[in-house]
Amino acid sequence: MSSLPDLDSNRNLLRALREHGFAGEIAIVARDEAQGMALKQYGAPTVLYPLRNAVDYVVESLTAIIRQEKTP
Amino acid sequence: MPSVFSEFALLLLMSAVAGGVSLLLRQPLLIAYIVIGIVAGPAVFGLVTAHDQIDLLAQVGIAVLLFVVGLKLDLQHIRHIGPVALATGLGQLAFTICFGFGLTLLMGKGAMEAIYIAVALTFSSTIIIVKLLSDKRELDSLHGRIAVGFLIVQDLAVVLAMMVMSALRGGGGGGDADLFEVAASLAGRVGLTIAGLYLLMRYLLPRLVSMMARSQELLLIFAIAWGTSLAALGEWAGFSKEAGAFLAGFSLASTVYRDAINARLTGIRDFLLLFFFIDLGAKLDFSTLGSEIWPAAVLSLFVLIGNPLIVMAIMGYMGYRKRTGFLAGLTVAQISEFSIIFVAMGISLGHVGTEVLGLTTLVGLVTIALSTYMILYSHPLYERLAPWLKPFERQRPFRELAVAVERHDLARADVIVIGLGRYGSRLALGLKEAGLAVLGVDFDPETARALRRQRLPVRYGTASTPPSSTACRSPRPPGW
Repeated sequence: MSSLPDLDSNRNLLRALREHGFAGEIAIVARDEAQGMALKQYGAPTVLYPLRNAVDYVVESLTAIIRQEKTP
Repeated sequence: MPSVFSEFALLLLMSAVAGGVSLLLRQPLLIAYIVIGIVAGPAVFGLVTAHDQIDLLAQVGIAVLLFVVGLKLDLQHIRHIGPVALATGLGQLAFTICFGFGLTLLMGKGAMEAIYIAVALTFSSTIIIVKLLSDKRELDSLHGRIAVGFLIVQDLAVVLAMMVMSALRGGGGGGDADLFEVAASLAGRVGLTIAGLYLLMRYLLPRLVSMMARSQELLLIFAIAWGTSLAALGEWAGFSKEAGAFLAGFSLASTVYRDAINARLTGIRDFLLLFFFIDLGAKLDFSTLGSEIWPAAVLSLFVLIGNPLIVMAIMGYMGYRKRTGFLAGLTVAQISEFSIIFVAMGISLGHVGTEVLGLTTLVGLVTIALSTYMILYSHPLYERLAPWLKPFERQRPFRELAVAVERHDLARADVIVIGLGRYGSRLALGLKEAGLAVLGVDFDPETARALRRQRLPVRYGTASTPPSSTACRSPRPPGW
């Protein structure tokens, strides 16, 4: 798991892992869609979107609360 | 007489102590180094005797610095500058060069000296500004992004100015009669260099670099060797060392080892530059500097007050509020380490005398030290000056008001999202997709425009100024 913020470091990390023949699973955290796409292009097998997950969770719970209040 | 080795040890020790003091005063380190140079130099204690050794280290430092500048020159960045920063940056360059040139001529300097000084006055220090803004967490703010944009424009201008001045070497005294000849010789030499570099970058360098990169230590040595060699070659071919070192860095910018080289060189660059600044301080000749005090004071005032005014005028004209213009303008209220390096290059090219370097160094010390505090206390400073800044704002600052005109039904919004950064904008769009009526509020016109394109209603507003009465008409939307 890498949660390094910048793209270049992650790219270097991926290259280093590949060069050393790392056989395990790799997941990398992306800031946004554009970075995620770039990471995929560099060969990251799994890309995580923490911001998206956090927002999705808030949207879900807020929507539920507001719906409840609107329909008494 | 102590040995050169112990002299170096003493200088390094003094620099470390002075660096600690400058950290406490929240000043950039280079100020401390120059001051140590002055204190250790003939002006005060006369401790420095190893001028040749220090000078050599300083020259290698400059070569490494420009190598890194070339290495980091990313053509991607240029596309991201944006029209506002480009217009402000170019406008500021043009205005400052013209006014600075006139001002310096009025103070009785020669035309060539005036060119060097005027160009040196336009640059501001990217490293110092980016550090200050990121410490204040303002890099992502509207004025921060515009400032970084025009700092990139300035960085490109530094490189361009160094290239042009290097090519002018043959021209000597700077007569404008042989302008055509100079331009032709410049074009010829630049063309030849580009062709040679292209062939190298295409066929030789990638293979050579990947071979060198098998060992990280070797990669570092190779990078320094490549930088200093092209610097020496550049000097021999009639450019300057600076231009050669820059091109060496640029020729490696597109290789995958760019970041590895950059990371390894940064420490060495900072260490070697220490000697450049000490050298600078030690060489300040106070016997001739007395006559430069008044010019230095005038030019410092021009940089501290004139430069921000120019940026504020341009940004006000372009429809920004005076607050944004003021905060962005403060970032150009100092000159850069590159200004000093640029003038030092002029001396080695034989264009100007050492007194110009002394003058520039003085202006650098004053403006960097003062503008650091101006930026650190930018908000209190704005509060005080705001009443006088009216002329720098249009009746309707349309760029920042453009999003405020639409009347949204505040009363009908289920959720109001204030602040539409990465998290806020995603949240607003997510809630809208979930079928809620969402209203966004942000003060950045670019953000607002981008979100409106995705059919999200956005209002203009800030939390730092009192909200307008219309914005608060419905303090409590129904459902909450």
